[in-house]
Amino acid sequence: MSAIVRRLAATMSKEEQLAQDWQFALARRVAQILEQRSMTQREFAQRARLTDAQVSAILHGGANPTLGVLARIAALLDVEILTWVNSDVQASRRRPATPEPATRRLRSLT
Amino acid sequence: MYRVRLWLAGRCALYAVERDGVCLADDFFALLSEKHEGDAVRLARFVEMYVNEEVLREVHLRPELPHEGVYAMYNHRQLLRENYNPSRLLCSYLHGYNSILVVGGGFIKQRTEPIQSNQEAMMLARELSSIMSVVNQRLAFGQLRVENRRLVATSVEALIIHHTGEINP
Repeated sequence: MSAIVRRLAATMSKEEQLAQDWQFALARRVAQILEQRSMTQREFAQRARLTDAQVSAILHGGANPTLGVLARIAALLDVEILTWVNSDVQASRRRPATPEPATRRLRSLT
Repeated sequence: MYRVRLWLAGRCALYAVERDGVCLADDFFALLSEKHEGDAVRLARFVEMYVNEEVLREVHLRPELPHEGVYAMYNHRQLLRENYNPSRLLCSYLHGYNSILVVGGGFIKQRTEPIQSNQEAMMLARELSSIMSVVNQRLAFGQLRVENRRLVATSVEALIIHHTGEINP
């Protein structure tokens, strides 16, 4: 197993991790729906009024779409895209069984 | 001499190419983390997430030399003022399977160049393509087989590829 990949990935901040999780969950969901409906990326782009570059960014897991863009995708595909994305992220995230020491310290002060 | 070995395993599996005992993918991550640490971190985490997918979808990859079956995992990141993503980790599907990829070397893309004008990147892509033709041939002839989304070799030699007569990158 690649130690360097594990080590590098572990250094990502929690904020960045969450952002990347959301982005990749969106990529996965859009890819799944396009497959299920046999819709091409070009057709999806045209119907959702997105550029090819925007669709590519979404599918490669690097897009930061606005709420307006997400609403267009949700309306076009008739799916609760945000709910799905969030449930995917929640399912994949491992929550610590006990609060981290910093959190415990903060709680003891309040 | 080349060797193919398990590199990362999740629901799917990624195999890496070693050239004379050096893992090309690990070597690339070491270089990338020196030059673009943030991109290395982001790509590493992408790779970890990707290997845990149900299937390794092609739409999440970048086609580098698709007619030779070579794609790249890369760090796609939209920035406000620029869209420069330097990391490219070359990979190729095991023929007939969407759950196993073999990763080769990687390269750091300059801002404006396509892969075709990057000699080192082209060499790495052709090297991977050549290795994959041997691996796929061995799969077809039964020296390698896939069980539970993992590559199984029928002999120690089945995952070793010698220079002579087999690889012409």
